[in-house]
Amino acid sequence: MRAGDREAYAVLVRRYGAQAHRAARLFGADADAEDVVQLAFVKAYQALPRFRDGAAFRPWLLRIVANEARNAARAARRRDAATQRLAALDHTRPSGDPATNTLSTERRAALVAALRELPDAQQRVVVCRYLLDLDEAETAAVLGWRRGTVKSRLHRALAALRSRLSDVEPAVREADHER
Amino acid sequence: MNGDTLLDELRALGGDLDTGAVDHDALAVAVLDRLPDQRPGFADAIRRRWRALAAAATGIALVLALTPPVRAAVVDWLGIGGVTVRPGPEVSSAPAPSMQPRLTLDQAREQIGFDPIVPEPLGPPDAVDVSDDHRLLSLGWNLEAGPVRLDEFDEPHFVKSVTDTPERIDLSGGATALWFADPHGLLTVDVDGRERPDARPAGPTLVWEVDGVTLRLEGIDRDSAVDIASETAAGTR
Repeated sequence: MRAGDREAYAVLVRRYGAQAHRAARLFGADADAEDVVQLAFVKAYQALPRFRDGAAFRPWLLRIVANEARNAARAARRRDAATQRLAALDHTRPSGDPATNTLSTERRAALVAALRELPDAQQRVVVCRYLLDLDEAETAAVLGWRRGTVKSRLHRALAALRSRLSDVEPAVREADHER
Repeated sequence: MNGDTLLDELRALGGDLDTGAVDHDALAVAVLDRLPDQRPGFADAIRRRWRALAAAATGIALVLALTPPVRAAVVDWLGIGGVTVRPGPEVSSAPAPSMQPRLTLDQAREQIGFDPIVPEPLGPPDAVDVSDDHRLLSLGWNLEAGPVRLDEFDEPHFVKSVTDTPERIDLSGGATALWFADPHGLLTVDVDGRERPDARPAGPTLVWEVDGVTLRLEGIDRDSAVDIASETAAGTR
C-alpha cells in the first residue's frame, strides 16, 4: 500500500462520512451505525478496482451502507425482538432556528408512525428519496431497482402516507410556503 | 391536504434527524486501520477515483450509473440478492420438489409485494404458490426432463451452503448471475434473518436479480437457465 493511495481514500471517507452515517441510521443501524459505516468504507475500498471510472461514488457507497445497515438491523432484531423499525427517527430534534422549524412534535410523531407502517420496500424508497434527499436516479442505484419501480413504489408510498395522515392537521407553517 | 406539504415535511424530518456529530478524522483513521493490504490493480483504481473526485469538485457531474463491475462486487460480498452463500458439507443430488397448483398468478400478485416475473421461454407456470409469510413466490413447471422450480423474493430468504464457489456469469444486459453447478444445501431464513430448520438438498441452480427481486431457478441445465435469466434481465438498465 502506497501512502498516497491511503491519503486519497481518506479524502473520500471524510467527504462522504456524514452522509454514510445518516444513511446507516435510516436503514436501521442504531448502536452499530459507526461500525456499519466503517465496514462499508472498507468493503467499498476492496471493490474499488472493479469500480468503473466515471460512475458516481456516492450512490454506490450508499448501496453498500444500506446493505450493511439492513444486516445489522436484522441482527439487532434477532437479539431483541422489540427493536423498533426506523429507530433513528426517535432521535430527531427540531433545528435550532425556530423560523425554519417546520414540524410540530405531534406532526413529527404522526409522520414517523405512518412511515413505520409502510411495507419495507415503500419505506426504503421514501427514506432514499426524501429523508436522504437523493434524486430518482441515485435512489434507483442505491436500492438496485429500475427507475420505473422507484416511481411506482414511491407513488404508492406517498398515497399510503397521505391516507394515514389525512386526519392529522398539517403543521407546516403557511408562511414557509411561497404559494 | 396539499401534496407538496407532505414532501416538505418528509424532507424536514430527514433534516431533523439527530445523527450526532461525525468525527471525520476519527472515522478516516478507523477506516484506514481496517483496510487490508495492497491488492494488485488497486493503486490505479484509487488514482482514477481520485481524479474523478477532483473532477467532481470542479463541478463536472459524474455519470450516475451502477455498472456491471459494481454489481459483481456486490455479489462477492453478500452472495447475490436475497441469497447468502457460505461453505458447507457435500450433499447428494435431488430433483427440484414438484409443486401442486394452489393459486393463480393474480392471486399470488395480491399476496406478495412485487410483480411476479414469468420468463417467457418457460410459458405459463403449471403451479403457483406463495409461502405462508407472503415473502416467497414459487412457480413450477412439469417438464418432460423433470420438475422446474423458480423462486422469487425481494429480501433475504435463502442460505446456500456450498462445497465449491459458484460460477459468476455476466448476463446480456449487464446483470450478474451465479451458477451453482453442484448439489448444495438450501435453507430459508425468516423475516429477521433467523435460519429455519428446513434445509433440503438442492440441485444445480442459477440465481440472479431483476429489479430488486432475486430469482433462483432449479431443474434446468446451465445454458438454458442463462438464456432464461438473460431474457428476464433484459431492460433492467
